[in-house]
Amino acid sequence: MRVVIAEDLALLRDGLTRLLESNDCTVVAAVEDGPSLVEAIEQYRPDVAVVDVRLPPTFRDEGVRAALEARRRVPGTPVLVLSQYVERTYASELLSDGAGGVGYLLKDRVADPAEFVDAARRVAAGGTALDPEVVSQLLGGRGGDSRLSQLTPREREVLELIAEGRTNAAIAQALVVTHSAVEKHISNIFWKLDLPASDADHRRVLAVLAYLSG
Amino acid sequence: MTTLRHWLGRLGKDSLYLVTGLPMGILTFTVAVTGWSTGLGLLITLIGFPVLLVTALALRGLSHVERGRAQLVVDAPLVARYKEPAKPGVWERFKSILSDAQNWRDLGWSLLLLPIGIAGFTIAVTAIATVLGLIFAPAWTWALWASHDPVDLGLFHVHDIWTSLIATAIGIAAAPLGLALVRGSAAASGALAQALLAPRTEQLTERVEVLQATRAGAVDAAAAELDRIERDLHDGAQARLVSIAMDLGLAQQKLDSDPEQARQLLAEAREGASAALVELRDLARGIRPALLAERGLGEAVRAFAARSPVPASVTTELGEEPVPEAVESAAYFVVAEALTNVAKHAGAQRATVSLVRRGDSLEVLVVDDGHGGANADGAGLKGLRARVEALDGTLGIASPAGGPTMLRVELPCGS
Repeated sequence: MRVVIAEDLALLRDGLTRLLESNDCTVVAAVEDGPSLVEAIEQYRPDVAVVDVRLPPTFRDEGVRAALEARRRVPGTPVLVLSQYVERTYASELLSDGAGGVGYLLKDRVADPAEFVDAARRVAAGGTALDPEVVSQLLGGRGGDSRLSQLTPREREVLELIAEGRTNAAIAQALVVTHSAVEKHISNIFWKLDLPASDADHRRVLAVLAYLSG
Repeated sequence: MTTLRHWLGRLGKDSLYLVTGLPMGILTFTVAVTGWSTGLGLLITLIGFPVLLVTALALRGLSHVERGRAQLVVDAPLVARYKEPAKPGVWERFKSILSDAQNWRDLGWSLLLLPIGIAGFTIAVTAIATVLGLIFAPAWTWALWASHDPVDLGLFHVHDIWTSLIATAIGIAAAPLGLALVRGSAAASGALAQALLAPRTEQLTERVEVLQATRAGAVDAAAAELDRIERDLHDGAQARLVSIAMDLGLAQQKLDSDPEQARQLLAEAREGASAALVELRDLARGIRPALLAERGLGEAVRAFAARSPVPASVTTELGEEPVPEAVESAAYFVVAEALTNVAKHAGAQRATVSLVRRGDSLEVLVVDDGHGGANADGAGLKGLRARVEALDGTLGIASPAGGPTMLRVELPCGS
């Protein structure tokens, strides 16, 4: 898997490079600001870009802006955004073009290299990888929604795992239930949320998120 | 002796104020009455407008002179504020003058000053002349003793040395009365001047404006400080911890396949943890130095100066009375920022720091022997100024090209 990294702190840039390279990825470029990220993506067409939200010169949301710009120029470029904090606004903005291939993880997740690289691969394959924190913010922010409150706690758990980009099999494994039980939960969720069922994993997530942030 | 000198000085100022009141009164009355009657009379021909305008501006100038004159008898500074015209142009200026209450108060004082000046002048001259005339009676009445019309004092005639000495005694006895009359008239006139020319509300308004500005500055400074702390955390300790987590995760992954690399990653993680601790400690020190909380201002400043790259000597005279915590903090950061600037920009060989408690305020002085030319509008000094002004303190810097640079801060310690 060919990766472009955008991270302004050399300490983390080098760490990420080492982590990805020792897990069978090739870091084709490691840049430190937004404009060079857009350039690197145009030049290398990587399988995934790993981007820090806060980049120079403004140290605000440069990373998100640069990622959006890059996806405008090279549509469908998978982007995995890393951040010290989660902000549901950024997740919604990244997901809003509906092209998939979006991840948004807390930097904490790099503590588990296998899991992290797995998330990067899911994003590269056009799926989603939203941090559980992001998902619970997205869900929590709509606590007043009556349709959402119809979900049972177990269905809510399943919805969170869907948003994280898990497959049905992974969800079954995580919740220690059978495959068919997961399918039943999912169809219940779609029914309760008035969503037509669809086949691709990331489409389900996008539908859910579009609904949640709409 | 000092009280006598004090009273004579007081008497001098009072009588000067009362005596000059008459010519000033004649002047202001003449300008006011002539200007306004001419202006109003000519209003129908439109020439009246400029006449009124000029009259108002002249009275404004005279009122300014009057404010200065009132300082002879009033201790507080006399401050007045006038409305500024919202838009340029003669008509706008005219409107702003007509609608300005202070302008009408000025006019009132210009008219009142004539009767007040006449009364004050009469009282001062009569009281002083009578008292002096009586006291020094032996010196001048002798010329009239032999005449048909000796000096008539109402109760008796002064016609020889003994009666003149009685007059002296009466003069000495009446002196306090004369003094009191002069003092009373001057004080009353001064108070009226103050009430009309510099109403107390104006001073309060000015104070409120100063407070608003300094509070905004303090809020900005606090926000900038929080920003800095957040940035320091984000780029410092938080990044370190992420990197440590990454190293540990990788090490765990490599434990079986590549134990040598795992060992190295663990060593790096440990170093990272030490660095994170140092960064957190520095950050905490930047918020409130531990020594300041534990040992007070003097020790904390001494410790900071000892770490300064430019040798700095510290003298403190803080006295017994405790300094408020906010003042301590501000004083500490003034010294810290000043010494940091000295090390960074001044090219100095050495610096001196002094902290002196003077009555109700704390004076902080930082002097270096560098090449001067410090920028008083730089970000660092601006932040310090905001911090100092938030506590009602003042900050001054003198930094001529070629040096030396002197930073002086005064912080009130009163409750």
